[in-house]
Amino acid sequence: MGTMLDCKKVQPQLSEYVDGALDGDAAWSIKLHLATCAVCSRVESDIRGTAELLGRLPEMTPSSSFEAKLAARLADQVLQPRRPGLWSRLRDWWYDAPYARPMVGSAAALAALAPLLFLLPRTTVDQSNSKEIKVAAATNGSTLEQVWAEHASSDPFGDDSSLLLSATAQSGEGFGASDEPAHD
Amino acid sequence: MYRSLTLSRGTQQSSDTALVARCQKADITAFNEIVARYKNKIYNYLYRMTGNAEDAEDLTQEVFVRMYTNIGAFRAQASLSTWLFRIAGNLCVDAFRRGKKERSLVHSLDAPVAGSEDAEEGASATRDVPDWSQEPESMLGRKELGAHIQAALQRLPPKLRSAVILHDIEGLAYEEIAQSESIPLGTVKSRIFNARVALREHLRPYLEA
Repeated sequence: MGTMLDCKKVQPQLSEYVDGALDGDAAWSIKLHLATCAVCSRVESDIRGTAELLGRLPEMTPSSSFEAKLAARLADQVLQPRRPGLWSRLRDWWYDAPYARPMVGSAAALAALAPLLFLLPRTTVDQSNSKEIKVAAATNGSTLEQVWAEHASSDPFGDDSSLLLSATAQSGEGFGASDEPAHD
Repeated sequence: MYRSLTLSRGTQQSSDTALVARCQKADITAFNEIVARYKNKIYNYLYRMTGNAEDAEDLTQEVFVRMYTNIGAFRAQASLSTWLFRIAGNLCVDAFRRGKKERSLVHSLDAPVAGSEDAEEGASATRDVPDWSQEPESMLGRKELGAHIQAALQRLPPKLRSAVILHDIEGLAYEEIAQSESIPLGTVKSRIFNARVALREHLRPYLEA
């Protein structure tokens, strides 16, 4: 007689055993167990009977109008012409209008390059120097417009050193141009 | 016997592949051939799943509509029948989720019979199940047997029901069910085992006959 442990191992495999899905050794072990265990043998018999009952059910068939209904449904749902989407309309236009392709290509290239205009360095006066210019103007006693003009003409790259040099030269301090001997 | 069955399946498989290839080139006759070949199997599966002829026919048509619209995406990794059963199973799940189909289908043997006096009184009236032990001859009635098995199937959870229908009624192998349901092989085996064990309780009068 099989032990409880044996039955617990055997019963989950009975479905496969009935289907003939177990390999030789496993099937033989189950067969031996069934020969000595009435409980598992009963379960095996029930599972086999259940599978046979299901297999004996008659095949149900759809109505005779199935194909006609399906054809109507397909015509209604699938074969009905639909308004094409935006992407397909654009694609069709692209193929139908070859003359427009260079224009579209140029526009796309310009659009792609546009951000570079904002990223390139500018040659205009750096407005960040305005504070130093105001300080220099106040120190020299000259007008703000004069200092601006000097700054713009002396250093296109906004170098602070030239501005300071010109400011000190006008005030007569430091190593300005007035200290150098004149070359006649 | 087994060898000839295997050869037959192999032949059908290659034939299916050719039909699918033609169908992918918008050959409507190939589509009609596929419908003719599989409509009964798909309908039968859906009928056993839903228990209702009208729902089964509606869902079967939807299976072939889906097949037609998605045939371009079909690859020969799975067999055509497996693919069709997968579509059918998914449609069933959707229908059950919506609740409409499931409500119309589940005829629990314990549920009160609609319209009966007991049901109106709220008593625990049950469906009129014949006493098989008293009338063994009537057990042989195919219609009654079929109706009783169908009622027993309806009491199973849909996942167990689908597995046991595909295996015991449609004759799919474990591997084909695993592919169709996208579940591991071990899960297929345990679902079939659990379904059979549950069914035997409902079908005991027939099993003891």
